[in-house]
Amino acid sequence: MTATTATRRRRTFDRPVAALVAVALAAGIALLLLPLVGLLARTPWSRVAPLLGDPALRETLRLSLLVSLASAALSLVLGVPLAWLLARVSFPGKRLLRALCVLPMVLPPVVGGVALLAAFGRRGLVGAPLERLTGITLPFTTAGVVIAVTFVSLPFLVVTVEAGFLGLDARIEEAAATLGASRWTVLRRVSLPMLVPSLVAGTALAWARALGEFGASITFAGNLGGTTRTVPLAVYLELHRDPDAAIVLSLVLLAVSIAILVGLRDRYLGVGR
Amino acid sequence: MSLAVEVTARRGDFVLDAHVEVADGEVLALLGPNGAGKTSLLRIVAGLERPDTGRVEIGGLVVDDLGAGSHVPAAERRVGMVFQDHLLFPHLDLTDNVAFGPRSRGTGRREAARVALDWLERVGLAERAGEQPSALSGGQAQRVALARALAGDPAVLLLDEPLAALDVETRQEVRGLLREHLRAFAGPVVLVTHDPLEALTLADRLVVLEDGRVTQAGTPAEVARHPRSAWVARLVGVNLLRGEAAGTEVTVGRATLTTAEPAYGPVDVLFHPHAVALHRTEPGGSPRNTWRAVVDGMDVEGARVRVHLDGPLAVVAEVTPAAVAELGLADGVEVWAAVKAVELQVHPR
Repeated sequence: MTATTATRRRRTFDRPVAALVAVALAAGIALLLLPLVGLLARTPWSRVAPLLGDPALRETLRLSLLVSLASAALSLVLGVPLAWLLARVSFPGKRLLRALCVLPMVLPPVVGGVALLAAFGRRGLVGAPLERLTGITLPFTTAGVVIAVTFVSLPFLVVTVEAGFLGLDARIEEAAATLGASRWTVLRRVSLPMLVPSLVAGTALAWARALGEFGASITFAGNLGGTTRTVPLAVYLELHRDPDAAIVLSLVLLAVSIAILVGLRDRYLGVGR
Repeated sequence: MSLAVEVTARRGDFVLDAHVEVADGEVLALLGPNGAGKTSLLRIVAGLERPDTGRVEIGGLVVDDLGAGSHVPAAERRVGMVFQDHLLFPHLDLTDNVAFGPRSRGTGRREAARVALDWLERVGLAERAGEQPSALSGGQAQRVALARALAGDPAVLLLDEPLAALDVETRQEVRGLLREHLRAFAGPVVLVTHDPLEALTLADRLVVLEDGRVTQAGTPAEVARHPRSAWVARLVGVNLLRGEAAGTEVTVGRATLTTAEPAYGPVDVLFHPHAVALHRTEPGGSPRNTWRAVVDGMDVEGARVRVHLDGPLAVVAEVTPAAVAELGLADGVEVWAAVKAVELQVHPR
């Protein structure tokens, strides 16, 4: 039996196929690795410190940090109830709501930006009455950037936390209910504390996505220095003016991404919990 | 009756249709094969599942009444529930686990912690109060689960196979503790089990649930002596005698039995009917326990015959139809009964 299996395996993996697979593997790894190598190779190391000291760049970094942290907090507040609803309550239209929650993950961000303009723009569905009634406008403001990046990054938190809820033994919540705990108490004292790893992972992923968001931001909130110009927008801008600055800013984003990956190890997206 | 359940519930093809009443201070064992609906019935009482028709009354309060369309959610029923796999909260220490019930029902933090420590003391784990559940053995975790269920001052105590997940030795130890606390509990107790030993030694009354219906109810001795279905006969149809042990001698009424393991005080003595040998004349050899008995009825069950014996000990012997013919067994016939000492299981009461 073993011999037959071995023969069959050798036959399926005969030489030309094995060669093709090897080429595909090498090309795949090269595609993932070479851009990083290129970035490091082209980095003007002597200019890193002075560039990071530049007031305009520092302002961009500060704004990016502020926007991404505000967005991560907003994702947490909006995403956890959504994740709970999707994981723990059955209602008609649940599949539709889940699809809606995940849509921004596959939607081109620029389309998200256009859609946000249509809703919250000065002449948008909600934006127009909002401005008339309160005088508040969102496009081309820092708050607008927060909304745009949250639209794109929220799904990462919802998906991760929902997986966390589904991985939680529902009977432990039932045990809490028999001890007199209301749904809210169960959530606050049992489910959420047990979900801390998922909450951390979901928030970190949403934060990382928010930090790197480009398309929806620039479409909805523009590229105004000090107000809406976050690091990715600055990278794009500097590429034409000072490529060295673009590379240094890219390096900062790369370092943050790697730090998050290392910090989460294999806990991201609910895998390997 | 302080717990009264009369419900039907449909789960796919399976229909649960049961009527069970339990008095204050009474321990009722719900016994039955897997999938008989025991756990469903328990979950309906706890409010974790809803019946399709009928009503549930706990301590005089109607908590389910499908006629009136009322349903009290689990959190608002005063139930204490112990699950098969303890289900302690892994992120809370033992004190906070046990204090969870009192806290949820509005007791202040300090008072709840005091109640929790008191209960941990009663299950012998007070010195572990600050530890996490993951540091406990299976038996210890189940003891904490019992303390947690009782600390909320429930009106009814529900236990779902509380010993099933434990190994044999631990099971015996936890069973002793369980018996003590079930006796002390003032309200009704429902114990779901498929272990006849658990049912016979812990319960005041047995209800046998098969395929969603109650097929038999009675005291452990009644059910053991007159099992009404093949399943009950095979599992519960054991001889159960209550006596007083002093070393390896147990006095049961007028008779004295010799056992292999020493014990002291009130005990349950259990032995299987097939361990009882029947003879026309006094047997010699190794059996330590022999007595004269009179045949008082026979039930044929497939290839086995259950022979009811009267005399100093009321027991059932299980023999083959061939043996019945050979021994000339019939109502009123005198025989010698013999049981080896090693066949007797002795459980302190």
